[in-house]
Amino acid sequence: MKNIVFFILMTLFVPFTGRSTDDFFNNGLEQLLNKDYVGAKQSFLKDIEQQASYSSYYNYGVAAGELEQWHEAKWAFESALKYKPLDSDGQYNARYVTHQLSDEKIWVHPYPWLERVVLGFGSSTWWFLALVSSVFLGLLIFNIISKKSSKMQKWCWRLSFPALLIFGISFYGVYSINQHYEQERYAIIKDNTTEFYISPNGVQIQENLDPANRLSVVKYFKDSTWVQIKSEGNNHLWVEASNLLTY
Amino acid sequence: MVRIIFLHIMLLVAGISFAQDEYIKLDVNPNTVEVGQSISVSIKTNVNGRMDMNLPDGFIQSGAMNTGMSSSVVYINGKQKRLRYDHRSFTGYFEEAGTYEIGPVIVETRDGEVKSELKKIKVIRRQNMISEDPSKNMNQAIFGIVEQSSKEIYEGEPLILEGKIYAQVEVLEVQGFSPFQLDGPYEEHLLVNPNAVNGSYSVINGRNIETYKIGKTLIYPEEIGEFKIKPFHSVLLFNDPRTNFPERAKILSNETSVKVKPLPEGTPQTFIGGVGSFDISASLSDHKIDQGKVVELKVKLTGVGNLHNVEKPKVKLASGMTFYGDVEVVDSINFSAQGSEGSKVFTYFIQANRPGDIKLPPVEISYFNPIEEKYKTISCKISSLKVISTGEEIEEVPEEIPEEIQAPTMQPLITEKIGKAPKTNPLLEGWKGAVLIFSPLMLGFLAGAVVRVKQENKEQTLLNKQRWQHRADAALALSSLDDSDTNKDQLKEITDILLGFLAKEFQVSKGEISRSFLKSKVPNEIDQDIFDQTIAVFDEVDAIKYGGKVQDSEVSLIKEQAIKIVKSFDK
Repeated sequence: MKNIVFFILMTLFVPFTGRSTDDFFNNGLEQLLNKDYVGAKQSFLKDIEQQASYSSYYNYGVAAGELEQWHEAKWAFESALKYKPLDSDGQYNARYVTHQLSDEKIWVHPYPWLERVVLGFGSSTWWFLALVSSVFLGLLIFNIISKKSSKMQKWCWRLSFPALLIFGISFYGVYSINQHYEQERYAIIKDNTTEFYISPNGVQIQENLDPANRLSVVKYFKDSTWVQIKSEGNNHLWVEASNLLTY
Repeated sequence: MVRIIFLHIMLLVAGISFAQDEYIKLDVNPNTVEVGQSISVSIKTNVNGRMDMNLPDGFIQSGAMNTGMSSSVVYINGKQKRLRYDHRSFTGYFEEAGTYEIGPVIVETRDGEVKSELKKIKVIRRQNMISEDPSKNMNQAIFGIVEQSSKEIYEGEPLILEGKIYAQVEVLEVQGFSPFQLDGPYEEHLLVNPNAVNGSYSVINGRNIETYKIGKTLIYPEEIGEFKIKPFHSVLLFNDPRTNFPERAKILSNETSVKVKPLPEGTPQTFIGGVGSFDISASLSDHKIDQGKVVELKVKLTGVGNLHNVEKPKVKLASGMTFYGDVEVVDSINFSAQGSEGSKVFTYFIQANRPGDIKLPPVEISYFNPIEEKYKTISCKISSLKVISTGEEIEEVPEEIPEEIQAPTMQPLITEKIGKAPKTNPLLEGWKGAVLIFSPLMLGFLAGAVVRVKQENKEQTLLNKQRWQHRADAALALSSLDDSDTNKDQLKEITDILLGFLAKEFQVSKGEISRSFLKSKVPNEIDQDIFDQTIAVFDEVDAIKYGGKVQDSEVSLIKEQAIKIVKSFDK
């Protein structure tokens, strides 16, 4: 009997002992409000590892900005835009920190307008559209193939074009969103002392990059310890992954 | 003007004078003065007559003339003699440096003129002859000193000035006070009535000196640099111990200065221009509002220093909140010897455009503490605000751009977790996702094809059945031709049955069956042999029918040939 009671109590207690998904985020907020920027950064980073979100990256950027760690702040704000590319505060702060890194640099949104529009509708919308249009197209195909000639078949042919168009667009939306979240496309150097190489562990090359530059990730090498990047001047360079912040 | 006054006075008193030893004395005090410093001139005489006095043009009389008489009885050589004197006194000053002569005073009598001696006055430039140290001014009966709270202050820090009059004579009345003046822009607040005098005693050089404090003023210099504080002046009525008559004197205090220093570098971003000591508190008018409504945030600033001149604190807003209208300021400020003190309440109107539990960032201000000589930053937290959704999109009111140029800063933190990465199902990723999306299309294609094939098979079976049936019917019809009929009739029947059979076989009408039609079906649908046999039957029938050999021909052979043709389609 005692064992049963103990088991029930433990079962009831389990949900309260688990760490809530937002605990790190809330801790980070408290630390940010108390001006513990270093602690806030750590908390938001843990929150990002647990579940990345616009707010986590954004607040990480605010903490880094308060510490005047502009490279990290730029990385964080532009990473935040990955999750909410149309947010004006994120864009403003990304522009602000870019200006802190380089007076001459004009900030441009990392994601093209078409991608921003696609992301704006959200993953669920595209999935829903893709599945519904696919089912509809399937029915049309069934009708066209199974029947020799009928009035309904004519209508099936007529409806197939718009259905195919919706299916194509929604499939592109699904594909784009998957690519958007899965790929690490850009990189920012951690500081101005980053060394560049012609090949991994090969000959070092002197490259004076604008610290505010956003670099494009080309490929990874050796278990992702080396990254080939493309500068805004289209130069292909190799950098140790530990010297880059990618997103 | 002065001379005319003297003339009239002397004519009035001339008739009532008694004959005495002629006596006239001019007294000027002090002999050396600064520009603007008051000089007291007194005349004592027992001579009746028209009085004239030489006064230099630069002399400016201040205040009215005092006149009086005194009499006494003296014994000279055992004889009682009554003496009577007239007194006149007035004050004045010079505005330019130099040496001036006052007098002599001349009284014209019937026996001639009686003159006083000539007095010389040295007027020097203002040299701050009054020392800040009262013990060094004890050679003067009355003097004033400017008392100041500090010789050096920071910009924005208050300066207290007060006049202190030291009198070694009995002061009867303080008749006027000129406010303090600085040689630069400043803001002043009188802390007391300018004519209010606060008397007390001070011990200087072991002597009890009567002192009067006057004109306490709070000054805020408005520039950085060295400010000269001009002397204050005041007119006093006092009892002259030498004459026992009330005398009027204008006193001029020392001149002093104050240095206004700029605030040190490293001004915090949240600096509100406050110099002194301050505290801050903030509260919301409501903790639960509907989306789109406006809540009031009251930020109360209390303290002492230059509270009246501080700017409104910069309030940071959480995402989804905007300022609505201008900030209202209500202050309750008193000016005291500490500066301006009291409270200032800033009311911010904030529109909540986003639902949820919103944490507002704390309000933070910085001020400069002149005692500790460093900037202090203080803040106060604001309780969270619950915004209830109305399900409507609220158009944010664009914030007015303030006129003053402010250094841009980052947008504040976000209190709500938004923009979470979409949780992906492994089934929806990569090729699996593509298969999932395309599966309805594939399914439609496959199912359609299956249905189509099934349907076609069914149709083919039916067709085969129908073919078999009409072949059987044709064969039966041919074999059951009545031999008793004429050859002509039998040939006609054979032709009809054969044409009907072929029409059904090729699913066309009888009329379409021709030699060329049948030729077109070779070899896909009919073999060459069957075609030849069929054509041969039709040729034979035509030859019999149109060759005139109907009666003599053997029709049964043709009939068997036709049956053979029909049966050949079964193979």
